[in-house]
Amino acid sequence: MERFVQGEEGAFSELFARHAGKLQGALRRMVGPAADDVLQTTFLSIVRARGRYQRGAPFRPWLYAVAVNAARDHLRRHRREEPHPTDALPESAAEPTPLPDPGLSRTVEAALAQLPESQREAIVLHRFEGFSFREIAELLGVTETAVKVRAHRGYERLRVLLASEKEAP
Amino acid sequence: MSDCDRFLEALSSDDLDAGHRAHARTCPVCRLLLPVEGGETPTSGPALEALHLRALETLRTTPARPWTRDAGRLALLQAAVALAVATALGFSNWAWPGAHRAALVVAGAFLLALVTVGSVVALAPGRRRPRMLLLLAPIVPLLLLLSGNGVHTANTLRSEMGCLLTVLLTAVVPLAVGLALLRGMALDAPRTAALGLSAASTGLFVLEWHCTDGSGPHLLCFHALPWLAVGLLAIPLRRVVPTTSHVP
Repeated sequence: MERFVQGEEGAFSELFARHAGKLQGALRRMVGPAADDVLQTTFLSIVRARGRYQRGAPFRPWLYAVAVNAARDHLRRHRREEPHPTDALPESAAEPTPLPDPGLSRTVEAALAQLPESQREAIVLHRFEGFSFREIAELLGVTETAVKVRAHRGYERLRVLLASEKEAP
Repeated sequence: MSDCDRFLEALSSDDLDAGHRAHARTCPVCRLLLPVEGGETPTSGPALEALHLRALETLRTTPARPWTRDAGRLALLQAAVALAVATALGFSNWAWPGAHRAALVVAGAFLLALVTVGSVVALAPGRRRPRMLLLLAPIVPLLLLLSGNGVHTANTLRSEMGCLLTVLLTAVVPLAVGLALLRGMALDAPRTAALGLSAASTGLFVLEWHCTDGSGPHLLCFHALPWLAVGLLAIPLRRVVPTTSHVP
């Protein structure tokens, strides 16, 4: 990270290769098809404002904090535009066999798209990105309790949405 | 409480054990909520490659700007504005026979610190420091009251409005520069309010030396209130200014 702040291209390429793909997936769950635009905004943000990076701080939470800010800004500006294409829950498999890749479950992603922004952020960062609640609190600038409440409400709502999907004929 | 409820409780408190996971594997709904182990494999593609190249180009053409440099410049600008306007308007309050000089020095030093150190703290990376600065806000009206001489001398609306306008107009340039700097960081209402209050403190500093009216109502309505208004007004102003970088 220090080398990237100094402007070393190799160091940036290394960080990009390590984080861009995963961050793209997280952003897809937060903002849907605008993920690529927000990903671009995120990486250009960290390149332009790398002078604000605090020496010694872990890079990944910082990157995700920037991404969440960019996603919020995007959603604020496009609040009234077209609905999320995954808003409608797709037909899902009913058998309770383990999924080959649960992270890619379209059923979960479609249900996720119906959650309020703050609950969706907490769940994407917790369930898909593996951050602890303490890390998410740090990253979002709120208390750990607030994150747990958001996540709990979000998971509760997700469960209701997924259960109703299972019961649907 | 059902197994599903227990699983949800454990999931929401980062406390999943083998029993909860075993339940989730057999429950068609809970299994969908299980955290993704190890995450996904990073993907690549033409869109990512194009972004990579664009970011590298930006890296080549954009030198790193340490945040302390911008913050330091803003602090110097605000101090210069405060001292220049104070000198231009004169130090009538300091020369006034009933002035509480020791209290004026303490209040003046605190306000100058808010003008200089305050702007640096407001621009510091992270979210904690600007919020801590906001905690100091209630001290300012209290300090104004304590340093006031208690005598009401501004008998006309015009002279009272003069103080209000001094706070508002002195803050214009510092606030405009501050907002320009805030474009380079994520939208953050407490940070913006902290910077707005720091900018408006330039006018308070000027009035501390210039205004001879030390009555409580005048100090609160025509000094403290416009100061607070600038801090709050900064938030909607920041919202209309486009953001160039979303770093915290």
